[in-house]
Amino acid sequence: MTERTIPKKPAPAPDFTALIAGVRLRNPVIAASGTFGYAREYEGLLDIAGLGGICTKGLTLAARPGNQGRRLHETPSGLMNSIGLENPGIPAFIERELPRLRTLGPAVIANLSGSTVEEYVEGARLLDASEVDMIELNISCPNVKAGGMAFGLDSAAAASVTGPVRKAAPHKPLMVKLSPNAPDLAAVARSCVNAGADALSLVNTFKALAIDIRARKPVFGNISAGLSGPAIRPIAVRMVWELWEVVKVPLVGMGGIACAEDALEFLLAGAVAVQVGSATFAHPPAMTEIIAGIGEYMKEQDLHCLGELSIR
Amino acid sequence: MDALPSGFFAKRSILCECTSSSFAAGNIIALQFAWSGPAPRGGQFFLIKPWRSGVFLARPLSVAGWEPRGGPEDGGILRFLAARRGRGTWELADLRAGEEAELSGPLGKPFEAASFPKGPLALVGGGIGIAPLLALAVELGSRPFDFYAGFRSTSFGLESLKARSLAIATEDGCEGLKGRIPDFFSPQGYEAVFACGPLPLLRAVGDACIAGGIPCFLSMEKHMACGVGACLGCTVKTTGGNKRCCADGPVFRAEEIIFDD
Ligand SMILES: Cc1cc2nc3c(=O)[nH]c(=O)nc-3n(C[C@H](O)[C@H](O)[C@H](O)COP(=O)(O)O)c2cc1C
Ligand code: FES
Repeated sequence: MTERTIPKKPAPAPDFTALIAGVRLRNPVIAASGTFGYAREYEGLLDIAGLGGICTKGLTLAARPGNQGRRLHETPSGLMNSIGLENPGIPAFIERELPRLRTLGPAVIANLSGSTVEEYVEGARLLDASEVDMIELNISCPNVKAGGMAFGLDSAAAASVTGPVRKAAPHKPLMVKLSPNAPDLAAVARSCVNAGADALSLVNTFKALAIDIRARKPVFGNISAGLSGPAIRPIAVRMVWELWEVVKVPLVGMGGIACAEDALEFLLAGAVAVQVGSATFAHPPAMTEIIAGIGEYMKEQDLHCLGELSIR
Repeated sequence: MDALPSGFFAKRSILCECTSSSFAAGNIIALQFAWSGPAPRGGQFFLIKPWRSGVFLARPLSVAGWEPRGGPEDGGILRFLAARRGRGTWELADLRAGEEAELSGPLGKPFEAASFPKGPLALVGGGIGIAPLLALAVELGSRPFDFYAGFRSTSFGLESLKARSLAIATEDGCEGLKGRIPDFFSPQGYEAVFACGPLPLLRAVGDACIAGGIPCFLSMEKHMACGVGACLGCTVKTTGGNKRCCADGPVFRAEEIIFDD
């Protein structure tokens, strides 16, 4: 008797769509705020059209010149920065950068920053009337003196800006970007969701310090700066894991992702999508390779949609 | 910005073979790579990271020479000079022929000597800063130019330079004139001046040119991360506000630069 083999149906290509608060991304990989300019800077170095989304540099109502002096310092497996939210202001962004960003394909996420609740709210109003797909409310920039991270460190402060921004931008999905420097991250996360956040992204950079032993003074004018890159990844993964138990809104994970395996750790920990920042500096095609690598892993594990990646 | 012919500032990230690595002088290594991307111009740079690397970021190196293989699509050999400074540049200096490195580029704006067709031109470099001027010198072809090069102790990289005249100065007097290049340089008689090197040299050459009303272009150096204008980490203060060294430069007009550190 001859053995009959049942022809196997070819596995359908895995469904790569990621849904964040109603915004459909073609895949779960997003360029992180402040690391991808307004995308055109990277033309030719990676497949920009193939990205899931692009977060803009932190945008404030009025243009800002950013910080003086040294702005970058490399560390083992990481990078410290003290840019200080240099940006052209929201009106100029909407007029000069957004129309072209819109044509690229990936979802456009505006990173909204500010020093006062009024400034955030005014900015949110302008973005609400614009063509951006989503607002990422940045309450976690460690490099500005007023506002910024101060709003992300405790739950009352976080709600005091998330609530009004939610009201000022009723038409856009709102994702709040959390600071890993908050002493009680779970409390901040809960409070953002109660104040109307549709999603949370984490982590922004860790407050860190480097000292120039030759000059015998801190490397940065602001003394401290924000640490990103592979050095922070395991801490960021732990934070995503823990918040998954605390809130029910979608989580977008980031911090040190440099290859598909790194991104998968966040997706398995419960994130619906990831952002990639500093790794693009070190290896410009990183995000293109990460997208391909996630697809290969899904095929290898016989998973059919992104949601099946989570082990939670 | 968008009016430029498409592809003019085209850039690529490519894993390339190091085809040669040789000692130049002191802590200076000459490196060559086979490059199959767009042709660079003098003043532009590449981000370079050895495939096996223990540091996080790539290092920016100015193109010191470019030999096209054939047509514009055929690639060629890229030449660099690397000074051993920290771990990243040590890794570059330790590259051996046959090993691979990822190169991203060409990046930044080149020296625009074509706007000064009457000549003669002056190229003024200090130390490793001569690298982009060597690439510019090749582009100048048979146009008359004088080359001024300052070194700490011994010269390097000048072997195939075809300048009308070459002035060498060393700080210890081991070779050429004893002292620093700005002590021996006057911009008078030049249509334009192009300079790269340590800040004191750039400042002195820039000031002399401004005083003499001679157009002067300085190639600046800053710590970089992205190298493409995306991270805003490499700010150069100018009379027109903050500019990005990597994307708006590295070549700036001398009058624009505000030297403050
Ligand atoms: C140079 C630089 C600039 C950044 N600017 C911003 C910013 O404007 N707004 C923001 O929310 N995050 C900003 N970030 C933080 C990143 O978006 C990201 O949260 C962080 O770098 C961790 O991810 P990574 O390790 O993949 O870089 C910046 C990071 C870097 C390195
Ligand atoms: S190095 Fe990133 S903007 Fe210049």
